[in-house]
Amino acid sequence: MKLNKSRRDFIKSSSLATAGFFIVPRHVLGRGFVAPSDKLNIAGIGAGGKGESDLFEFSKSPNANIAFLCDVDDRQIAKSLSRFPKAKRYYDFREMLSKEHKNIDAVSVSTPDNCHAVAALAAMELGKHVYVQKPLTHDIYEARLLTESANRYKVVTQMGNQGSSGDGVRTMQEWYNAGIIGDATEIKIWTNRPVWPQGMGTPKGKDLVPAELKWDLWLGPAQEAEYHKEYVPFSWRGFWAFGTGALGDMGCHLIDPAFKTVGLGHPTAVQCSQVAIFEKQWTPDYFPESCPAASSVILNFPGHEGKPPVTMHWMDGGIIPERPEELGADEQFGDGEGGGVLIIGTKGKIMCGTYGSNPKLLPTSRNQEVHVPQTLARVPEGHYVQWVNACLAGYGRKELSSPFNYAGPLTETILMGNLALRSWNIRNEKTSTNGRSQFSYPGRKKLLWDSVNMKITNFDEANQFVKREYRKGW
Amino acid sequence: MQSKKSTIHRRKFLRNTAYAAGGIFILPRHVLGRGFTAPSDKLNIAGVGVGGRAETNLPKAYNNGSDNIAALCDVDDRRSVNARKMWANAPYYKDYRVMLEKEGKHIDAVMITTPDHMHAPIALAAMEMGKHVYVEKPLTHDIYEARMLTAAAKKYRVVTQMGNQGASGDDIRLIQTWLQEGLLGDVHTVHVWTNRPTWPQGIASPTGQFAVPAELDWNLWLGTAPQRDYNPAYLPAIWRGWVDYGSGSLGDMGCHFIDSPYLALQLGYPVSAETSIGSVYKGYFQEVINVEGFPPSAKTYIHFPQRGSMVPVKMIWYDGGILPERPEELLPDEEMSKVDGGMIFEGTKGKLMAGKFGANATLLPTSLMKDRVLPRSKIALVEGGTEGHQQQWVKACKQGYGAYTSSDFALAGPLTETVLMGNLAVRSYQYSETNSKGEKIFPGRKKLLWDGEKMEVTNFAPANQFVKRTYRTY
Repeated sequence: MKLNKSRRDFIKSSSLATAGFFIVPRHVLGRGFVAPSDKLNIAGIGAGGKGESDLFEFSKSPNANIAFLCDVDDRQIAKSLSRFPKAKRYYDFREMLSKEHKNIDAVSVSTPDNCHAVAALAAMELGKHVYVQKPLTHDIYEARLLTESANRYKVVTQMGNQGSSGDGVRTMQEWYNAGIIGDATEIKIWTNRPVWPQGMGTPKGKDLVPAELKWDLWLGPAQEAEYHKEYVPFSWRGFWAFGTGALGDMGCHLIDPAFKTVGLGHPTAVQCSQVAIFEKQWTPDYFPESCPAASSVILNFPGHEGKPPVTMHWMDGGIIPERPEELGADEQFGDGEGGGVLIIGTKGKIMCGTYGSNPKLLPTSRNQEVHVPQTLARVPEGHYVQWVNACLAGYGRKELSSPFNYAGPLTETILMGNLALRSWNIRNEKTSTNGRSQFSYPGRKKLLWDSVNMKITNFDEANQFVKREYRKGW
Repeated sequence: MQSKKSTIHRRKFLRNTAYAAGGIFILPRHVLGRGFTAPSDKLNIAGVGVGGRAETNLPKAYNNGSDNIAALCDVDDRRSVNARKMWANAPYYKDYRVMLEKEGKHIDAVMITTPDHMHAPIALAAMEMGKHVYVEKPLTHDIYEARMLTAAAKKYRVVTQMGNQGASGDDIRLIQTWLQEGLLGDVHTVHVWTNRPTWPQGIASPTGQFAVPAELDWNLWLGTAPQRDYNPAYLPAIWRGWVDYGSGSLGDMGCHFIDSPYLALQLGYPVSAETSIGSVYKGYFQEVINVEGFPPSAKTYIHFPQRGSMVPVKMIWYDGGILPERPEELLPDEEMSKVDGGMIFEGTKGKLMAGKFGANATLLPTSLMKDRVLPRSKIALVEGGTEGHQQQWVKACKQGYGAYTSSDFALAGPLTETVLMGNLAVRSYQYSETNSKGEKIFPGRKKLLWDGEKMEVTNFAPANQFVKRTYRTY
């Protein structure tokens, strides 16, 4: 599978051309950030929930101006509208970008996962800097596309895994680079999420679409689906059509510190298992459209430059790794309830919580003995303002904590886990001997990944999860 | 072939089962007599719990009339229909206590196939009368009972067998031979898993008022379990998921999967246990932990100490769909055992993978199976293999105490304790307290240290409530 080489190709492929948007090449438009002030004019796509807090965080910078707000739901946008009364409001980001591109410097995308890529790419094609919530995209192909687009359009990018701007991950990097734990061979990561119901069927029936919601726009590139109140504003996370489950939700926060510390790239293989659901005895329920209630995902990364291969084991939904022997019986493992990360090296172990918080060497007594000088710059301004300042400085001028050339491969890794979880549920009906249906599950094996060609090489059906088909018109 | 004496009083037995200190085992064996006569005679077998699994156990013991089914007992006339039809002349009782009292002189042995919580009281009552016993797996519902039955088998010198028929199979003997021959070197890790529970777990307790079916004596069904209103959600079979009656998927399948490693590695009492469980959410951030039921999935670590020259072993149990990591020696497209579960032994010189009952034992990589001449079982096989398990016991009963059975209580007791140790960890994990701030805390979520001799968790006192139940007087 090859990425589209030119923007024009992409426009064609995404069907946006037919809508008449984005016909003006970027170099004609210029950067679009001009006087009257030096402020960065930010448009927010998805302005409720996490979008609302993201925009508020940007606005703490004296250099940021929240200029436009776009949301498909009047209820979700209400708080942002009252906070930024001067911002002009849109429902459809395509319309907003088409009409306002000259007045926009940067775009923040905080929609449900399935719209991240289309919104971000449309903005990047117009030369807009982008801040995109985690996970960067909904499928692997989109992550690759955004990563390459960031380079192609030379825009400043940041994924919204704010922990990557924290001190914790930098401390871990310093320890690791100083060889304190030797070379990492195993990484164990867990979250208590999903902390909402998963592993159930799609909601039954349909509800009346609320007057405040533009359902068709909410769906975006997702396939046509009946509105159900279950999906909005949050539970879309548990359905593959819109969300990316616990891995998509927390993976970027939890895998990030290990990914960065150990310097991981693309995985070469993935395997998984997930909790089965039984509402009746002996007959397992089958909900392939829903993310699982609990899962175990194991990713393999090859050795490189003399470093050993690394196995990463992700657990969610309550299942956690074994407590390391070095951890005292009453010492907290990771965050305690929420989640954690354990990096096992040839000479020691590092543990931290979600967002890379509270990094510790194990046994914890080692933290008093080991002193590694600080070599990496911290980000006192924080993740949001870092991006604002970098946008103002221009492409390539300032370091970012989670630019797409880092966040893209990280997101691909996370989505690789989801690819395995979805492949797990592919089933074929076998000839039944007793009148009862019997099924085989050909995807329940170790899936081998050719990252260059973005292809599972030993189970072709899995490749349907690499790239979605967008709904007609998107 | 009949017991010469059956002097036990029901009243006395009731006192015993209340575990008055030192009050158990008050009838010395020599008073009861062995009840052993000429081997040509037929064994007179009473069945307690004669539906479901008993419909396999009893016919196999009966063996087309080579032995007698002398009495039948079930609390549910619906469950006993087939057995009563098959052995129309056998007296039928609802209360095993009445049956033992009235039929004691006419029976030599008792097969117990009730819900788990009644295994021990019935078995002990029979053993105290000098009756040989065959008890379905898991041997008992709590650890104390398992210890007690193990001691009782010796004390009363009766022939015992737990109903884990895999213990009579050829496969377990082959694995035992291979490990004894050192094919794997020192085995330090064993992974064991099942796809069960294949019934709902992690659900709310049933509610509603229901009339007790005329065929069912609910008070007797409850037996030693706490008083609770009848609800059809508990029976038949589905009691397995509820802590007052069943022992979850570990209790159901643990004895079938763990017996191979337990026997081959002579594991003995564990020294610690640690678990985590699949969580259940009924709404956004609304977790449900129902301490009356077992969780939908669990991953449990049970540690065994050095045994003579054998290195310590870590056993990891997975149920509900979560699986161990595929061994790296297993090729990506190779199947990791069958859907119902499996086991993997890891030693210093190699790995072995097998299915339920130790079936299809395979060295890894699987190419070794072609390249090597492997030893055949050096341990005497049981006639009929797994299907000969019941007959083996019948024949041993006729030979008398000391005759070999594959899963006598000396082995089955500690095996069951290990299985129940996992459940103790699960129930401790679910156990919560409210702290001074009014927050719910889970102090049992740690590695529980076990003193096997004393039957005591040494670092978390509340766990000890799960070692031994309080019986209801009924």
